[in-house]
Amino acid sequence: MSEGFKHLFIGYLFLLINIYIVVDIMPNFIGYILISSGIAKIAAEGKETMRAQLLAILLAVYSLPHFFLQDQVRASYTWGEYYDLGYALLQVIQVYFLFVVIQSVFTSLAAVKLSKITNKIGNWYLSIHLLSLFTMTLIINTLGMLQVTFLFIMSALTLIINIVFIIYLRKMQKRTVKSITIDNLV
Amino acid sequence: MKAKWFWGAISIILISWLGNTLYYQSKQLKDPIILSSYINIISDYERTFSIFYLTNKGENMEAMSLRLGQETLYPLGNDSYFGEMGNYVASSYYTEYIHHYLKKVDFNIDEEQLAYLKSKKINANKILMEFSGHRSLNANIEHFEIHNEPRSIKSDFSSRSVDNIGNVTEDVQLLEDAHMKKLELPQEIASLYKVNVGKSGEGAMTPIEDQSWPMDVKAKERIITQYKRKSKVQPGKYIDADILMPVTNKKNKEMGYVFHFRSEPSLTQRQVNQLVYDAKEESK
Repeated sequence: MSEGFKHLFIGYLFLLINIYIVVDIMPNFIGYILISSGIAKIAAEGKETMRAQLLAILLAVYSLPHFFLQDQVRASYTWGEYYDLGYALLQVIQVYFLFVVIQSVFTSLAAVKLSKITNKIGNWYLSIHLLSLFTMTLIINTLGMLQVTFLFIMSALTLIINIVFIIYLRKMQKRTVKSITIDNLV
Repeated sequence: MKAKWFWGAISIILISWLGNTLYYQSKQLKDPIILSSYINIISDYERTFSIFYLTNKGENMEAMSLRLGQETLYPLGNDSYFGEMGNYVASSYYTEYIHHYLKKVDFNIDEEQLAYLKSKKINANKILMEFSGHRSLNANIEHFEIHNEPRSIKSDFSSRSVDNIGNVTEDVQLLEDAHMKKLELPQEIASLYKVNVGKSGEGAMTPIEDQSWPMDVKAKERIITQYKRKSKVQPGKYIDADILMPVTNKKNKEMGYVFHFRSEPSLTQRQVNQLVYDAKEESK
């Protein structure tokens, strides 16, 4: 399980950090492949696990334009706006399924403390991302100054929650060591 | 997060996305809306005037030229190469609205072009404005006339001020004794502005209709002309008119002094919405 969280941690780190030297040297599709393998290592096969994995694979393909094109370049294309909103939507759904998977694992292990932390982080992460998505749908019908303000606030909030999420995955990796026992999780 | 809350939020986002996209699309213009202009030029040398147009924010519709009969005028600053994606930017945006920009584009007519345009009677309805993408539209110029400059009376100090609600004050000091004849205003200005005239130091200004003409002006006296807007609503129209103040000097020679009256459009969001609505209705 610890190995699974390690994959998730590195995978989401790839999504968070984008460094372009001709192309993205920390490509998102690699991140999603790691996320998919991380999910497989955390949970047994099941409906939710399969959905989370499938979405990660779908996103690995969908995120290919990120590898070649920076955010500003994508935004300059007519399709950029729709593409980015679709990407953000799929991403939040994928994370939702991931939280469902993690939550069900901790519940089955009766790891109450970790389950509570996961629930709390999940609620904050999803709420902020959903609010950000909702804001994205509104900004096309607002004035430029308002757009900048909205984007700044939402970007800052999502950045903070993404960092919190990565720290959470790192902590889970440390706490769910290979020789996992129910005792040290409770 | 509970599944029903999550999927409920996703549904709201999708509905909002669809609704906002449709609303945004409904506000997009197929062609720019060129605001109506009134241009009256009294000049023998060169003259600059502007054209204002509304264009979609998300699309680069740049004014490329203005065709007046055989003459083609190019926007000032057309040779500058900047702007997003390396496009030529001739017009800076003047006012930002939710879905549109009101853009201003300046044109300059040089001495040679002025002479040519004076010799040809230009039909204002046939003046065309060309936009990027080879789109050619009627420039919506209601009146376009160019007149010869009269012999100018000696004047020294002159100033022009516009307050924040669009009232204009012209002030000129004459350097010789003169008789000022009745100020004949173009109907365009008379319908929009109440005009008062007077001399500095005389206190109250008199409406031009009530003023006794000719008005005797002594050397060094200042003539003040005030244009006060009749309506609180700013007209969505550009008026650039040279107004001739006809005078005779003490030798009874016909002379003149030319005021440059300029009123730039200032639209509210509601006026823009109405213009967009009208343009869409018209194109149906």
